[in-house]
Amino acid sequence: MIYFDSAATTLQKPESVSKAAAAAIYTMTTPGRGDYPAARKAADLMLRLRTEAAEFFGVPEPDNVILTQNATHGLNIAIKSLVSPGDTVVISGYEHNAVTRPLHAIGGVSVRIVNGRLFDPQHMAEGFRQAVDSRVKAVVCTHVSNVFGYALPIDEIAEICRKQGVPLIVDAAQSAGILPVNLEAWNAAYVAMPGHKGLYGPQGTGLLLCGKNTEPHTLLEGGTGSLSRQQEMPGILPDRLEAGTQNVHSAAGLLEGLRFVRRLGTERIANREAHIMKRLATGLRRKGRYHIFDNDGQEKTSVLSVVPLYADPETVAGHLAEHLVAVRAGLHCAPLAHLTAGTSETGTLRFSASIFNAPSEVDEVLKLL
Amino acid sequence: MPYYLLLSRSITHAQRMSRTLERAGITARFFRPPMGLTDRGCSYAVRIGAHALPDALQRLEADGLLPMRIFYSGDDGTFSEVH
Repeated sequence: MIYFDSAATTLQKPESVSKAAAAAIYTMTTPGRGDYPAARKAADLMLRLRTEAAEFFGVPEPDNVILTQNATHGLNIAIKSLVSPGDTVVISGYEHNAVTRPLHAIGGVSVRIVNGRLFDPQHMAEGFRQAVDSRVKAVVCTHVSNVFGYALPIDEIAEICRKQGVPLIVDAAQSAGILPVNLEAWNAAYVAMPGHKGLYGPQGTGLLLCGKNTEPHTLLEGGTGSLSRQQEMPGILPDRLEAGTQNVHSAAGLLEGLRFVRRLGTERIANREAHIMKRLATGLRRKGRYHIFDNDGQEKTSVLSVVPLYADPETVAGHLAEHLVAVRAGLHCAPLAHLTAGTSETGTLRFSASIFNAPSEVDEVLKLL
Repeated sequence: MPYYLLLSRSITHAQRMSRTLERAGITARFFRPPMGLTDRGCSYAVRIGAHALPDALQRLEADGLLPMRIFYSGDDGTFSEVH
């Protein structure tokens, strides 16, 4: 199979990821539940994951790295900690349902949407400059659009938030492991990311990075192995946000995925994936049968969306699937992004690369299109 | 043998105290202390030798990892809180 759906989940993983997860099943239980070797080993693993993630993502303390189920889980914690009914929130026009649905669920939230033009970061930054003022309760912004691979000007947006004293929540679902992600440099309140995409970990893992002075609300309450007589959840991190038995086996895999990314470096990964996507965009452009969203190759991206001019995206994705090529068609759980870009009617056909894709795979796909 | 118990906020705090002290050459194993030492239920603590307390506290303070409470255990095995 040729796999170009890594923006959903990376399928090819470093061998160390599955080995670590498999070994953990037989050797680790749960941290904080005992002093026996299997519990201590699990505790050591979790601390190593927190420590290495904190180093890599600019988090002040390992305690502020929370193991979540995925980016959506982290975004729900972050958004529901900062936003209440009646508040005003600013978001970009490229947000995923993982952002817009929690805001909708809170109810009574006034959402200002910055509809910056696609691949025009200056226009987007200017939009945020106008939309964000000190009355805004939070800014929630994706780092990279999961539909178009467009990297939003997050450094500028972070600076706008800093100047206005507005907490920033970053959705790093498409950037973690590919672009520099740094909580402290952005002065962000929260950064949420999945483990199963650019960090090459197993599904069911994610990280929520919490800023220094955040006071997160709980989504779940339960056992933490600490302060058991107290009926309120502990106020300290990570215990406050990690109720119940943790997904230690997958965390062991995620740690190896993180190490793989750190060894290669995000720049090398980003360059490689952008090279693959550029080759694909160039080939598709030559065919003249696709509307291509790539800013004429100016944008370095791991994601490429196109609209076929001869058939709907689902049909083309089905044709590719028959030839064992995995891509994704439709709205990609981000209807707002399609509204902003004008692709709501058709959706798009999305190709997304990982470090494991080869140029020859692009050439094979081009033959089928 | 007399020793001190440094009570932590969480298992992560205990692990980090233990790691900081071990790096400084102070033997410091973390474990679950007797229930009677905390009125809030399960907790974690780091055990260090009686001679190591001043150095340990200095190291922990430098890393922002000071313990929640400190107990001394003498030769008779009873605990007394150190203020």
